[in-house]
Amino acid sequence: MSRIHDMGGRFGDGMIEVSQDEPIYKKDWHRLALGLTVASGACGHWNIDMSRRVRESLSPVDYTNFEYYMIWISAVADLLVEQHLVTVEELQNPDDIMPQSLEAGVLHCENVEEVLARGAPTQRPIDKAPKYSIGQMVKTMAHSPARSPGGHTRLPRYAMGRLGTIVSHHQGHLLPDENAYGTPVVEHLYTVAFSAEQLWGAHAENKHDQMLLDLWESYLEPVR
Amino acid sequence: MSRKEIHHHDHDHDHDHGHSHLPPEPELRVKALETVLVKKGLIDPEAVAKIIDIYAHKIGPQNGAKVVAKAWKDDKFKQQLLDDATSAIASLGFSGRQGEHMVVVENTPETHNLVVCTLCSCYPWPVLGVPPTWYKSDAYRSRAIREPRAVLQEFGLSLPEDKKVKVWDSTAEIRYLVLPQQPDGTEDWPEEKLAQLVTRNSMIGTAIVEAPDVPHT
Repeated sequence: MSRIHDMGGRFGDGMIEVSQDEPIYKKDWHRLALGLTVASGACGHWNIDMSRRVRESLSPVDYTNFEYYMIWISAVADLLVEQHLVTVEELQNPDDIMPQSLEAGVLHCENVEEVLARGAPTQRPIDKAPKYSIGQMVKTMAHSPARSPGGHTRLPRYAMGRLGTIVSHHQGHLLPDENAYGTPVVEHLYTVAFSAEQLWGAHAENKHDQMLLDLWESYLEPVR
Repeated sequence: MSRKEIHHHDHDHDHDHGHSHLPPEPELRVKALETVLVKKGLIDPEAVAKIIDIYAHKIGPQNGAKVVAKAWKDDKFKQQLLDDATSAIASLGFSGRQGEHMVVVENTPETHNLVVCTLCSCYPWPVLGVPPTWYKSDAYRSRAIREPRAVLQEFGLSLPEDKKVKVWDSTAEIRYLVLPQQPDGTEDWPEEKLAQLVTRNSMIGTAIVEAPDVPHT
């Protein structure tokens, strides 16, 4: 099984609301939501996979009803508590918090451009040889490869237990399934192409179309 | 780094969420969170303002448009872009957060590319900036991967049956930028003028680039 965020292929969402000239920040509070999410993430207390794990751990009702930026800021609050940086009592009464001086690792204004331009690359050296080569056929795990029930993974449900072909190899990258809990594990990352027919069967919109996903080695098994 | 390792079993039961202790209204929730982060010394308010300003004015689809226009004019650059997009794009000054590992996929007469993130909202920020609301919507995330042609119709784009569609689901930290086809009749245009034709949606794959004087068919 999977969580509410794993919605690829789901039915019932209706038409896409395409807006032509949407402002960058549609509502005033979106500015602050984006700024706080990026700035607090730069502090080093959590990584991108931890953020994703917490966002997708919202209850299905909250995940569905929250605007996207609301999901982000709610996840920041959840991470602050999980990482023991803030207590529940402090969240309840922010005005009562005694002001503290800036932490050592905080992102300062003068470093913002440099930090954004550097980002947080996830490619890492790997000694192990890749198990698969370009052109090879593979099968994805039939069930979630997550390390615990309901745990974080980046293999979407619609692509579980399907046959695909390796089309590129991206060397070693941090495995989100572990990095989402703060454990750095490096695995080979591949782009795997699936035919629309393989994923969607007789209901494929056009059987010649392709869906391509970036998948880690432990999500895959060889096909003989 | 004081990041703590979390045991997997701690998450089997979905503990009490911190966010439920903040106000339920988004405007109040974000203000309360700001107060908490500032008072605890976890953010510099000036850095927050700077981030907001950079994504409003400096980092946006105008960056990606420069990459595309240069690729149209300069075959050597285009080859570099297709071989190693991260370094080719960095050579124009665009790099970093949510674009650490870039791949450029080329539209051709035979193939149309479309980018989605079904699991969240992964998007190539250094070249396209903040994602539009529709890109993060449930409808786009659920449908683009299963019925890309129907989705493209809603964006006003009809593709012939014999043109292959490739949908890229951004499941890792590889970020995809579509290199649209250059419109006919613009071969002699200077790079700056070409860049003005390139829209955000054409670099996601929900549009193609058309020259202004080419009528819609």
